[in-house]
Amino acid sequence: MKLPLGWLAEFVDIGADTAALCEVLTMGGLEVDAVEERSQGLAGVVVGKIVAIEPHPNGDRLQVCRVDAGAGDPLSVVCGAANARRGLRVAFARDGATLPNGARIGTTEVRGVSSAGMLCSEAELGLADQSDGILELPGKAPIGKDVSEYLGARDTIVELSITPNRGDCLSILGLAREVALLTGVRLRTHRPKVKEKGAAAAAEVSVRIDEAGACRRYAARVIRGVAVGASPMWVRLRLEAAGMRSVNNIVDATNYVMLERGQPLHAFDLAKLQQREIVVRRAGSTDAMQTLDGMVRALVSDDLLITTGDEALAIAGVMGGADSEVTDATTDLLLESAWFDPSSVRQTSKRLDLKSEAAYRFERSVDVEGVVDALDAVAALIATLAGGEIAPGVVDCYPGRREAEPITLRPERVSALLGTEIARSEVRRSVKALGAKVEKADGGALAVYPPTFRSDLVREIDLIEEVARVHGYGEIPTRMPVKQIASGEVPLRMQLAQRIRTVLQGLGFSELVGLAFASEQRNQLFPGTNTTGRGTRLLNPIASDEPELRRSLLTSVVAMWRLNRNQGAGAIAGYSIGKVYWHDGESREGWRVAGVLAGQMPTLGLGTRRPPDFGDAKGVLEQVFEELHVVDRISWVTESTLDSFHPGKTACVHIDGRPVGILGALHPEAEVTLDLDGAHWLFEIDLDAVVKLEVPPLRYAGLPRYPSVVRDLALVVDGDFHSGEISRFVCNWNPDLVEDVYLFDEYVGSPIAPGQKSLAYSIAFRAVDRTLTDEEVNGLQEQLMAALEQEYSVKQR
Amino acid sequence: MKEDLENIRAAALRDLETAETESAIEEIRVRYLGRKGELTAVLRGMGKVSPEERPAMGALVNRIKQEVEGGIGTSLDRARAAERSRRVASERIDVTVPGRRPQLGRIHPLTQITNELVGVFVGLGFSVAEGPEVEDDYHNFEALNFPADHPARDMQDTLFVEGGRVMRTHTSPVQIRVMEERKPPLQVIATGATYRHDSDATHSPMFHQIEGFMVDQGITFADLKGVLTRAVRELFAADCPVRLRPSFFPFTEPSAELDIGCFACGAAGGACRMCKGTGWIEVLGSGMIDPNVFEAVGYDPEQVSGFAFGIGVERIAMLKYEIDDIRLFFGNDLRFLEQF
Repeated sequence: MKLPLGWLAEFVDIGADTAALCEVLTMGGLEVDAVEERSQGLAGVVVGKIVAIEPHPNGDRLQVCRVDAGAGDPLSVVCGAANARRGLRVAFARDGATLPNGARIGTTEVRGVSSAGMLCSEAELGLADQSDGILELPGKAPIGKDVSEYLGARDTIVELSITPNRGDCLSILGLAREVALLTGVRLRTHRPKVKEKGAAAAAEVSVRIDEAGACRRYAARVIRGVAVGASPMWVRLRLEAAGMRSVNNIVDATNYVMLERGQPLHAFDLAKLQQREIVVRRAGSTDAMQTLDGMVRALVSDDLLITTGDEALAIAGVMGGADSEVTDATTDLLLESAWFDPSSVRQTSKRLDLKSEAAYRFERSVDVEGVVDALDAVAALIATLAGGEIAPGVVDCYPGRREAEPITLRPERVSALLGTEIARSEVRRSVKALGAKVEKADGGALAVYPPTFRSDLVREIDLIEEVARVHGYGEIPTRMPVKQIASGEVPLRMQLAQRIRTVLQGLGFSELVGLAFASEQRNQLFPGTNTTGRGTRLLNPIASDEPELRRSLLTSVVAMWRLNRNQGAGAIAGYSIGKVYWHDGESREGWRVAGVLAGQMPTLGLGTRRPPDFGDAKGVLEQVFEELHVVDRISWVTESTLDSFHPGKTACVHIDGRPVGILGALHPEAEVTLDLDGAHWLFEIDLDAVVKLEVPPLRYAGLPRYPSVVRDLALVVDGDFHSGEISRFVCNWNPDLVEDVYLFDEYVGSPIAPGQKSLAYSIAFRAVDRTLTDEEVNGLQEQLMAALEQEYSVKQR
Repeated sequence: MKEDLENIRAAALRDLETAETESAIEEIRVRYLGRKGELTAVLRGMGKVSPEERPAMGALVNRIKQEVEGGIGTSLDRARAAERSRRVASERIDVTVPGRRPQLGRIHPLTQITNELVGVFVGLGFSVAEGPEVEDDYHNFEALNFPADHPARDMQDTLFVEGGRVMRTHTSPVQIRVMEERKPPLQVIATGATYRHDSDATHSPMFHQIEGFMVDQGITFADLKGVLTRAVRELFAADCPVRLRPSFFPFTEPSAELDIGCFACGAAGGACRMCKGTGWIEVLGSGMIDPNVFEAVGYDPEQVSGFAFGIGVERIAMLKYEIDDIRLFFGNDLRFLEQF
């Protein structure tokens, strides 16, 4: 809402300090967004008077004017305008003035005669697109006064964010009421004076409301014999300052009064009405009409219309119809001022995607008791701007009149909720200052009748808020609540996520956060871990190429990889912990952890750069599971179910035999699709599945008292043999004496036969109750080897 | 024989005197005390010594052996010390070579701010709750006192999901879900992603909020001021000015925006870009929970009261780190992430 302070000052004294006023408004809940000083780019243009005029000696159309600008002797100014004449008050751009188009005015010579400035037209002053001759100012315009100030073109405009509950503040008058309330000054209001003449309006038109719920009141006036034309400058300037454009004096008058009083108004060309009974009804079978903006609007049966006969005149509260539009030829008007149901207006306006200043105000509710005042104000203004006679009487159809219902306000409730003692007298004073009528109610409570313009005040709590606002939030004490001491708890999922972050951070992975949106193609490529069904669809996606929610975090991870590859990053190690979504008849969502290791290994400094291999990526995940104390329950399985992954370079991750994730490289076809290449590893783990795992509480295990004996064992196996088989077998073979086993070398080549490889394991033997002797260990090793040969047909190297 | 022994002793000690390296000393040890060494050779000749002389000679050999061994020890200590000196004098590294740094990953700035906020509120006794991001209209709007067709819904431009659902526009539905399941006293925060149909330099369609609420008997607006003042002072500065001003949220009444004194200009205003010259920066929205919300979850608003608040994580991060484009958070450029 744009608030021109010059306009506001007509209703309330605001003082000279704009910053102080803004502070008052902001602290009263009317947040100031911006303050704009408007001068139209005019500077140095003053009111001048042509005291003498004579023809230019060298130019037949030019004249030389002697202009009194209020200071010193009259100056000579050359002017070509036909309407320049002696005695005329003009806008005189002196030497040094600037005009809205940026022109600087100086003293020049025009065909041999010196000219100390310029007499300006409306167009030159930026007040009109085009104009004939120079601007003629009224005879009372004070000589020497700044023209922009005199015209009201110079003003301070305060832009406010009005919250949706405060429809009453969408007007100059409404904001003036707030300023009066918050600063304690008096509000100057005036009832419009209407001079009526001719035949009564009721003799010409009648109003019928079929939907009293949707239209509580409809008031109309008739004006005959107006002359449609341009508005005077002061009207145009004010409309512009408040953010609206001038159309003609009739439309401008309706907008002017709307801006001033918050009541949307409409003028119909009376002659274009087929019948003289206005009916407010639902559209029913009327399925379309053309609105003022020239568009044909499709209607639904619930839309509220203003009609005569079978003709739709307007979409109630949203926009007038083209057929009854005021044109230059219009002479007689029907003026409408009404109350339409906020929800009804909003539904129609939203469905048609048709936003108007009127609909905006109706949606936030207008003052049903202010309808006739606004109608009188606009009639009076039209009579001033466009002449005509106002027909006597208001045709006021008001089926929605309601008895004022009091709100019970308990002063002790105010104090109890705000946490500070506020005296009954202050509570009473505060609500009275809002314009409410206050009576005594039972039990020391107050019966409050809020003013009709405050339709947001319907419950006790609404009044309590008002008392707090008038009292000042700053006056309420700042206190810590007294309560039983309890510590805050953090859900296990968040705790585990935090531990995973810590591990991955230490291993060089940076956390990324991606938007949750995905294309159908990406969701097909990465259908996710432990998700079913299909991607969840958005009805109004931000981007049409991403109409779904991601099923897999890999969508975000891959985007991060590509972006950083394109930026020339050497090592790309990133992960994300976030939500994925799928739809299996119901909308589902779950937490996942996913990451990428690509480019180079994330190590800086001297030495060889190398791309990451599978072991690097697997080691990262193993360390994550180590931190979560489940690493011993993990198995790596080579049956990839995802087409987008390389079948020979991908592992499914199982915990306790159930799939929880994937680690691998993209299928070469997917690399092409994604425009990615080079060594890389991607993983995704179902965090929800990990959170659900039962992890036994940690218990200290005694430190070993006897030494371990470490032996190496080299085996020759087939080339595609899975080394992990041996490790698992050895661990399970004699858990009492085999403490640890790990693969420390893998070798292919001579003297190993082609198609075979050598695996070298380091095995630690330890007994808890004694030192193992060499003989004992030799025996164990021989038995182990025999068992391995039998199980896997492998040979010792 | 005795003379031989004395000569050996003298020769050995003389040799040891000039020996400078461990290997030279070892050679000397072998030459005199080794299996084929000179002293050993003399010992082997003991058989020829008369039984009467044998004890004295034996003692002499042992004494000389000990003396030589002592000399070897001394020489070794000297040689080793000399070796250490030589190493100290000769060993030099280039301390300016770059460290071989295992890369340190970064926690996303939004996570860092979230963790900080969660830490502050958990410290004040709030527990963390979570809720779905794909919400139903009831929990996201209706129960929070946003009637259908109310202009308040325009405050939150909504992303609609098939099946009549919405992407939650705020974390406030978690309030409803927690209150539906539990009874007061409650002190809860909820964190997570939220969504609106909005995208520019200061609005991301996905952003993050921290929601909090406290419900009990006798909770007041003064308590709201107390808790939130404490929290923002922990987050920004212990002495930062705090003010509350009236605002509107459908689910709270009275509602308040909380501003802190601008830390960029010291609340002086003027031409400050951070606070647009007002001297104040808006950091969160809050208010007393509306009676309609309590009624929606089956609480009696005459019996319990409470306050709620919501904080935009991106907004706090942008203020703290002076980030001017919200899209940087979701671009995941490592050059950005590695600054945190």
